[in-house]
Amino acid sequence: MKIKKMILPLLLTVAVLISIFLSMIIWINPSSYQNVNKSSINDSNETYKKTLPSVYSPTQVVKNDYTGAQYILTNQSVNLISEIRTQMLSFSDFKFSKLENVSLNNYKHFMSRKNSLMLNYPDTVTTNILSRVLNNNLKKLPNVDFNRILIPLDDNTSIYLLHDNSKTVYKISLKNDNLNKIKDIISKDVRQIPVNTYFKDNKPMIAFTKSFYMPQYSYLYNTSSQNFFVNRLLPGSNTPPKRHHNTTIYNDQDRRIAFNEKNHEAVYLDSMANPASSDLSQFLVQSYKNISNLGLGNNLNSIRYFNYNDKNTDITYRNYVEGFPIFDNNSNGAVQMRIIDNVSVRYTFSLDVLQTPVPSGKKDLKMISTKQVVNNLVNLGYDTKKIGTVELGYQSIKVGSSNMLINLKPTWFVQYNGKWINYNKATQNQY
Amino acid sequence: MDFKRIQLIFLIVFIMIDIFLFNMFNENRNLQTESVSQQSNSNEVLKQMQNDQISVAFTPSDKPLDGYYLAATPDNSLKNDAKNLQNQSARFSNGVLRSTIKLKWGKDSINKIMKNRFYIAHGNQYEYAKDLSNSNTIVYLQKNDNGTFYSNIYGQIRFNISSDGLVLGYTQSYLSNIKVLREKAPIISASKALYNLYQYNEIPNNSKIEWEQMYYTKLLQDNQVYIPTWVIAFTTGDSSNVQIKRINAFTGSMLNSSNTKDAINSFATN
Repeated sequence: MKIKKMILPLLLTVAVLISIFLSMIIWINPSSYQNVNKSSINDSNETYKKTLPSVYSPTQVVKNDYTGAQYILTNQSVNLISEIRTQMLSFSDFKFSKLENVSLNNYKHFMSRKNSLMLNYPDTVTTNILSRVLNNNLKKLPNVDFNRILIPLDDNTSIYLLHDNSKTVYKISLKNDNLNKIKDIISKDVRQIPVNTYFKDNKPMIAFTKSFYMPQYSYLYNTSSQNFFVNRLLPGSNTPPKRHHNTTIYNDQDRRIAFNEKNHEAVYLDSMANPASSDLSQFLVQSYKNISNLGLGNNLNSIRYFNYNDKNTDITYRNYVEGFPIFDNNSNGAVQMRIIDNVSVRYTFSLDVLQTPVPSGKKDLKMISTKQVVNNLVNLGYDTKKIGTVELGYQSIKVGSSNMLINLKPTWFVQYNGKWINYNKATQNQY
Repeated sequence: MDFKRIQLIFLIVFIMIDIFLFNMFNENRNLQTESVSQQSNSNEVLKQMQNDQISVAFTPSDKPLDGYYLAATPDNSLKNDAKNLQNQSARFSNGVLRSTIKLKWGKDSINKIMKNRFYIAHGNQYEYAKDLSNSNTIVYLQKNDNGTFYSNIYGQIRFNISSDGLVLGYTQSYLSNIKVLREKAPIISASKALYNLYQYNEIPNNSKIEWEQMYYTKLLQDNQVYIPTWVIAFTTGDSSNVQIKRINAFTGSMLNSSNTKDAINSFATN
């Protein structure tokens, strides 16, 4: 009888103990759902982290030889910047200092330092960004703004960071065991285009001194579907799109996306965005993160940071081909992000994505010197004072007979009154 | 009596809680193994394939590599070269040189005659492809500094071998104007390519992966663009018929153009 009486409490005790035991195991082990979510977040983080070093890499390599002559270096079969970056990854033992009392003349002297290599950014970046490009190598350095990296070719104990806007020079003492490898990279199969540095309104500019030839390229391209972006960016949108001339507009409560059917440009307005950071490093990282979340796919592989505008707080990324920026028919670059106010951000991007290079079958094109470009514009009545940077780039031209092919034609682009204009179009010397 | 009833109710409730917790625990364990299996290192790939009775005759490498977009055009210069070739009667048509050997060479001497331009034009630009060769046919593929080309017709030499091991003749095609269209870019590893092909369900159960090579193959039929491709060959069941599949080494996606079929045909017919 006693045993029979004991069965029920015993079973109850066992059941309680089992439930305690199982609860403990589940608590101790990280929850399965969290695990799955985490791995998918990691995936999108991975793509953005993977492409960030190339997006924020310098875009131009200038060599000052031992006589002081300057050349832009290009190589059609390897990316010089990414090869040099690989060598820079092993730099070590950093010591950082700011050079005091750098006059404009000193700064000019640095820019034309004999026997050196200069890696140029199209606009200001920070040491924090450079550190991310170099696998967090420079993490411990103070965070300063700069736009040029100077690597002396006769000194393996230091490099310099130069900032054009403030005319500041920073010296980083370091151990560079790969100087010879860097010298190899810039001498093998490299094309040299003679340039010189001149100062306009105390701002250094690079001028191509002689006429030279540039290759032409052709690419097959794809136009991303509007639906893809609507589903991705406005998942809650139920209302039918509105059509207005060439534009189709999709809305939900906080977001709006408009597609221009004619030039395949999308404008996406997000009124629920996170506030932008006022710190440049954080702004650059955050804006690239936002842009990689748009879902531009293949486009992320070849875009580079092109311009940051403090006044409008906008940032532009452009596609690059063999070291030179591509200027589309719209003036906004491949992707532009603009902060409208505290909570609104506007993105402008192209639906056309360059896919596969194909033989262009076209001869290299003869380009005139930078000076000639400016002279010709002035002769046509353009105001010298309003002419800013003169940049060599590629104009993308859709081939009429086929809707798959884009030709990339080397062209001069001139910043006139703050806006980029196409030299060929400006002089009506059209293709 | 009441106390007993309360105990009983508690027992039932706790048993239900236990069942619920056990289910949760079990689900947790399954999901964890799933997330681990998402890793695509070569060991994991091989293990998963083994479960489907797919065997791999080699260990695919995890090493990441680089590749180019290349352009190359079929070349007719072999027409002129045909006139200067010795010890054979050669004729050229439709981009292919067909030659019948007069003095029969042993197949062991092919390597030597490849180096002699009076026997084989541009012979030093071709490389022996062991995987594509068999007792009747010995295949050489055209090669340059950037890689080896594997196209349905162009850029290869195929020697016909008699049953007693003599070279009877050969066909040759040649690619020229090989140009780099775009700077070097990273490509996926051999093991990732094999894993992708497996995930695309392109490898039937009970297959044997015979070989995997990185060759430059044609991206599209109507233009001359070659891209780095992982070419994977397998046999299924008892059949000796080799199937060949291609994975785009830049994107990891499957290439299933007619080009593959042609490649298989030219492989099977010789």
